[in-house]
Amino acid sequence: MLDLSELLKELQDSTLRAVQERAKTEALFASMGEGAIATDENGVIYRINKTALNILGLTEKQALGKWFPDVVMAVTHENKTIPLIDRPITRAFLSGRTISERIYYRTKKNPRLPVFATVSPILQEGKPIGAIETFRDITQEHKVDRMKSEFISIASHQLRTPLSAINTYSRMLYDGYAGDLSGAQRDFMKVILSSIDRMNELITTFLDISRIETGQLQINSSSIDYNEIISTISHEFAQVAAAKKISLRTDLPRAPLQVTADPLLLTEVFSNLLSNAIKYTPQKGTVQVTLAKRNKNILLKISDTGYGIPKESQAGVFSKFFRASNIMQKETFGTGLGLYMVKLIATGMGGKVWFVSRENVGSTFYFSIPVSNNNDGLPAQMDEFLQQQ
Amino acid sequence: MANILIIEDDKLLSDAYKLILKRHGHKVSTAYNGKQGLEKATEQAPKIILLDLLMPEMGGIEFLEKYNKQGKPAGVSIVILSNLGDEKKVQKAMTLGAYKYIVKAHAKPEELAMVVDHLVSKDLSRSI
Repeated sequence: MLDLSELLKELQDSTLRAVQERAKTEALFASMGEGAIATDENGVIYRINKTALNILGLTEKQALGKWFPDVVMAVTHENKTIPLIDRPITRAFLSGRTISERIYYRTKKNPRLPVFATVSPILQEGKPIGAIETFRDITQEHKVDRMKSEFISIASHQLRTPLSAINTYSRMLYDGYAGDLSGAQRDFMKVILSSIDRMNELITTFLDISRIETGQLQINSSSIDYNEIISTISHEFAQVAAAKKISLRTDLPRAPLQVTADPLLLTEVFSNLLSNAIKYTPQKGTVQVTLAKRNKNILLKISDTGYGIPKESQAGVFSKFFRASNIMQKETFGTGLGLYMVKLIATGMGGKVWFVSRENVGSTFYFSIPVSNNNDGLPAQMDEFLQQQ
Repeated sequence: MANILIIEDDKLLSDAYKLILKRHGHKVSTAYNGKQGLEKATEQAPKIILLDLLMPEMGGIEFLEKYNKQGKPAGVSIVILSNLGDEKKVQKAMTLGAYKYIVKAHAKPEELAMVVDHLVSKDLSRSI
């Protein structure tokens, strides 16, 4: 049995440990380079560090004991107040999970300050008893991103200027504007023309990506027949497939399949996926396109009997400039930007894109979009994807 | 045959388009910026205008605004030939009455001639 003095010592020790832990936590909190705010289960702020106060332009008195959403106003890219239910702190509380995302805070100095915020709920027996929000000012990163994309846009436009004369005069030469060409001359011209096409393809992709990344991509949704788009594009690719003796099969619904989506973006996604399937399938292979309605979504499936993506390369498939290790050895032209763009557009359309693949067996890419999507603008998931890149 | 005005600051390209369209039997005049374009559009009364967007002195958008303001004659079609990747400028040109947008770096002589021929036949059927 413990006597009183032992009990007292035990109590003193644990009090000391608690004080030390508290001091450590406080030091950690205060010295963090990121803004940090701790709230209780009601969302009331009980601790805030100096960085947070500096970023938000507040004094401790203005923050402590106040309700978090009242102190820190969150707004969208368009400067509209984000409803409480959609704020990371609410979602973290409700889901019990850590939420990280780009968001804008309305501060005294800046009505739309870009920050990267992470909210972690503090859980006790699975129930949230508070939350810690850390955030950093990403104004500089935003600026650099924008400058980078603008640079690509300007550089691409500049590249198109000399290319225009090369393109026009080469085609005029090929079309006989400067007299008839011999067989060999025509063959040489074909090489030049196909290189011009590749150069154009590359520049267009750069421009598209820079447009998406600077938020200039416009989504113009309307009611369209998805079936017709897939059928028309498949038809356009029939020749390319035939040149490699690839059997291009389509399994499409008989009736029109109405969806609310941007036809140009849909075309971009499907053309990229189909052209990849044909490009990365050896001669005499098969490419199968299937379109079907699944509950409230439309699922597009493109399977091939191609080279497949090696397991070790699969994680990076949707990242910029990705080229699978096995493809690099096969002299196929590719920018490594197609699937990155597909993912950007798919996410922008409120859809999903994923794949399964086995090396030397083939790949299947899936693209799913909701039947009805009134999203005229880029949803938050796209920001999330860009942030991960 | 139609009376065509090319407003393009790149002389190499302007010469090429002129040659292509002349071969297809059209009468072609050229201007090297929007300001010159406005003068020639008034003097020559073209049926079709091929218009670049980025030009010194006066660009394509300003040309369209001024041309519309001074009273663009009915039946004149404008085709934008530009390398801009900026959707906003291209859309602005379309809302100002341009008929089609062609990327110069992609343009094929036959495509150019076809667009022009199509516009000529459209105008003919309208006048019949």
